[in-house]
Amino acid sequence: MLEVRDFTKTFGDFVAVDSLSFEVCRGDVYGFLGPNGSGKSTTIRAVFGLVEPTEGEIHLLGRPAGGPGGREGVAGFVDAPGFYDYLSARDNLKVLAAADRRKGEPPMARVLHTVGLLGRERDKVKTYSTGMKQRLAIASALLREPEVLILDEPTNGLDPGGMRDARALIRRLNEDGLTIFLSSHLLAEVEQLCNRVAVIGHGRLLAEGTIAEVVGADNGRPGYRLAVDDAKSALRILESSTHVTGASVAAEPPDGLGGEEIRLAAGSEGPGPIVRDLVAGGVAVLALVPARPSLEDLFLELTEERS
Amino acid sequence: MIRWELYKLARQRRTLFGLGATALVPVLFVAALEITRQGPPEGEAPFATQLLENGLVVPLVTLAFATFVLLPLVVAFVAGDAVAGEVSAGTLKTVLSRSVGRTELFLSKAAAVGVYCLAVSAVLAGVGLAAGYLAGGFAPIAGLGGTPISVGRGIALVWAGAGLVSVPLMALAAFAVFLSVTTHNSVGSGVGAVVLVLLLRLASGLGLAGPLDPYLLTNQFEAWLNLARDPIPWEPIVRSLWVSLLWGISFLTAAWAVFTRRDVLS
Repeated sequence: MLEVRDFTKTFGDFVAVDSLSFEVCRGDVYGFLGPNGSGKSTTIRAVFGLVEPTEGEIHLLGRPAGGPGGREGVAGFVDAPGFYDYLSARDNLKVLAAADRRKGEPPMARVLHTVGLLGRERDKVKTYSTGMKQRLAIASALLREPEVLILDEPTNGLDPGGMRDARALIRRLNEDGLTIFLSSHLLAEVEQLCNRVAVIGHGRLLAEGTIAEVVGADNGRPGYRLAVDDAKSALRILESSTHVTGASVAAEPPDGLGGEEIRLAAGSEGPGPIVRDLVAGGVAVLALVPARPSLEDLFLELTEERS
Repeated sequence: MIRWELYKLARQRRTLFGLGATALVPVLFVAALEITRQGPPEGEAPFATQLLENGLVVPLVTLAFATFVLLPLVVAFVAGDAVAGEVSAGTLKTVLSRSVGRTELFLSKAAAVGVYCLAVSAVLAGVGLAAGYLAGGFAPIAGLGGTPISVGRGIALVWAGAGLVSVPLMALAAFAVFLSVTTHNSVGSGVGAVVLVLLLRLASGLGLAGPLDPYLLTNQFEAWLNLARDPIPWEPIVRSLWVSLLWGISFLTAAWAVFTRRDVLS
């Protein structure tokens, strides 16, 4: 659906995006992650043909992104969506429908209903809240009846209720068959919504794949969270154990586990022998849970490592 | 797209302000005449000596005056906003993310600005005729060569003059559009176009342009006055048209080249 191949964009001597490659497949909700200035928006602009790649290629539904018909079947927005604030929402959608060069009446009422703006469409956009503008932006994208929806920070500026609604809408659209390419800072949101992600930093691809693949990419991290009554004694036992490949006391108190927390990586026999060693050493084991690193952990690690 | 570009233009405050200011000029001019009963000094404006007796002269004098600053000003500020305004509002990227091509969008904007040039000229002529008629009624006027001009021909002269003035106005608007595309700054583009008018007028006034003087854009604004002579000397009128077109097409081509190639970053 969307294929980015060795995309590079430079502005003078500054390299905004450097040999970026990834592919979004049909049915994906694809998360595109990166800190500010990492090249996310530049990449999305290139997808829409707003900037010319210095090198590389971008194909949308098999067509070159910047070429004739390159935006057919694709809709969305980049950065904060811009509207004519002196016009009503309805007139804004009409202007954009004219820019779509579509034949026949655009499905105005349907898209306004989908985003929950039906009844407010005659109000001038300057009277809209940030959340309403975001919803209008999604409505304007849906007006094109696209196959691929590209959303740049779609929950930016929304209150928690608005964010929940936006997430529900994105899920619903994906269930209806839309492929969604989503750029976001909100990693928990991406984790909830996306099946695949790409993480970029300084214009380069740092990780790409399913969330499980990306999060599991770092094999050196401890695999379990262990709550014990006496972390100091437990650590002494674990350091001398042959069943442990690494252990450290967690900096923050364990949430919900009780006692003190240790993060550890077990050897090939798993955590069973470790628990036995601890109990034999007089340490009470209060809880043992797999420590699945979050996308946020990985994101911070990847992006801070390279900055 | 042209229809919607015109619709957007018509709903913008600066467009309405420009049209309103243009409409106000003949009204204020007539009001000042009525209050002072004193026209401009002889030789300062064409037809000035007939002002107090004949309302038909009002639109002709205001048209001649307005080409100096008012019409270039109102056109420059609207044309200067054509692209820069969309960039600063973030709407250019919104529109260019749709199916419309950059050339089509550019031509629609240029056409809308052209219509605005015609509109300000027409408003000046229309309001001038109405204000002049209400102030003193219409009577035949003495043409620039002294030959009488009938009321009917005088009215036609006003409309034809407005039409001819709109051509160099469009060329000036094209320059403002060029600045708008290159600088992405609405006010700067408007000011830049007005500065061009002032510099060209200065160059012409000081005789700095030499043999190029007849081809300066600002000197094309007066060509319409030749319609008030008998017989009409067509050469300066035709020259005004092609010189204005040359200026306008040059600026538009340059603006198009930048608009279609430049990265849209905001």
